[in-house]
Amino acid sequence: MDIEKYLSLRDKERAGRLNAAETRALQQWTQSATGDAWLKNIQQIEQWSGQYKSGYEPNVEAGLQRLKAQMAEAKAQETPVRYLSVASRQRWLSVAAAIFILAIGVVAIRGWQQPTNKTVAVQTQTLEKKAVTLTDGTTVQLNENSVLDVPKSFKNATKRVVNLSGEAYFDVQSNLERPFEIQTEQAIIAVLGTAFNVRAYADEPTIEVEVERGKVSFAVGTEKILLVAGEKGIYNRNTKELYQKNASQLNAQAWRRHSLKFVNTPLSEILEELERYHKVQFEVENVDVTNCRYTGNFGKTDLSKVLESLKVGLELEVKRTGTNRYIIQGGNCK
Amino acid sequence: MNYSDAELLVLLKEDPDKAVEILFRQYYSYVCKMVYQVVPDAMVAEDIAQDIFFEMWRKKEQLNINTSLRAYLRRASVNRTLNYLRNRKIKWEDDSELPNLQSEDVSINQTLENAELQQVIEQAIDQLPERCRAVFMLSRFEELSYQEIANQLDISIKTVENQISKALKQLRITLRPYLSDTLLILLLFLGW
Repeated sequence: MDIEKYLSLRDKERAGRLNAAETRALQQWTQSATGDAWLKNIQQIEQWSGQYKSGYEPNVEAGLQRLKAQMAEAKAQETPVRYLSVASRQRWLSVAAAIFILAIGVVAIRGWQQPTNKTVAVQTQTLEKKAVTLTDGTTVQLNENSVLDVPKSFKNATKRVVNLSGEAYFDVQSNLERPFEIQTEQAIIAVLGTAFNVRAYADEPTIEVEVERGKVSFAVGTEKILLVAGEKGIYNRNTKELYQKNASQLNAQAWRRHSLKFVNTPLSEILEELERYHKVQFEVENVDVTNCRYTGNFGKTDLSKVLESLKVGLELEVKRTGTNRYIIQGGNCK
Repeated sequence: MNYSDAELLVLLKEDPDKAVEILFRQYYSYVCKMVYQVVPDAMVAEDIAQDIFFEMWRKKEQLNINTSLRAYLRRASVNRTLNYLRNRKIKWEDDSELPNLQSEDVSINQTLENAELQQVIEQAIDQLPERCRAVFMLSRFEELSYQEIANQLDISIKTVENQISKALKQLRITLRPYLSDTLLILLLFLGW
């Protein structure tokens, strides 16, 4: 009998589905020298593996805060956010006709650029993420500490305008007649139908747009760049520069995809992504090593795993110097 | 103040916010750790745990718990972890060879400090391929049969057995110096 056969018999035994012949076979094996040796080893391995990752301790208080925020949001959603769900769109349609004439009047006064004054805010707290579907079918995933202002309806608007502070991933429902526009503090991002990530936190020096599908126009003041899939546009608030770069790995979306990919990427950029995603800070002793390039795909974005791979790949030493602070020493590009 | 399961279940209907907070403080860490053993990514484990408690709160009216709360949460964690793994669409059937790992050369009689053994175990399991590790760690939950793992992950029971035996064989090699039954090491050369 081999180990697979044994496992299958043991499984049956646990479930109480062992027939007489199988019972005998199992007994014979466990009494044989080989079987006995394996059995002892298996028991020990299984017992030991119970200790696997026993050093891990989740932060209960932080988790509880997050849960409370989620509960509070669910309570709040009972009323206003219903406007955002696709399901309630039907009901909206039925009343739309009744208020249509009134709406035209209001819009005529307010002007076409402001579709309606009424907006609904969707908000996230620290460590919280949220997904919403807008009335036009566009889906938005909001990262932590972000606010998305959405008009209660896109009807009667020449374009679909939303307001964002923070970070969000948009999958925009295509509608050639009504472009979709995201306004952030300084930038305007205009699209037709596409998927992309916007990061515009007020306390960060840059506004970043990373495109997964389609085309996106990224405008700040009179300057404008056009981004296509796999490109990232960056506006630096300090230098007032607007530029684009390759982002085929779409790492800006690590927060929602739980993965990081690097293809021949300089260490400096890798550390930047890690700092952002894991909220840590790195100090590099040997500056030359930041130019070393590295290729790796981290499906699981556990920081210690990524660091372990970098350590081996680039012969680095990584030491923890404090809460969320690391120093990187040595290194060899190979 | 300590609440019994029965009291907590009553409280869950009367004051759900408070009940969930008590449950959370008592079991969040337990749930996270269980998931983390199968999917060693803190963010994923904590997301899954959050969902479980949130759903308990949201579905308090329909909740029908006949076991202990611990058993209920354990089952919920296992189910959600299986769900997560299924949605990740890991290539289960890929039968690539394991990395050729050597066990460390330590003298057999050496007694190990607990911390050292811990580290050896961590490394040995970390080195397993993702799918192999996940199935192996899942198989340690006694309430879960291979058939159930297979069904939940949309793979064959044969694949489940293969992955577990692969894990055991590999761990037996990497942990060999630490396993107590040393006389039979020779048998390793007899075909496994």
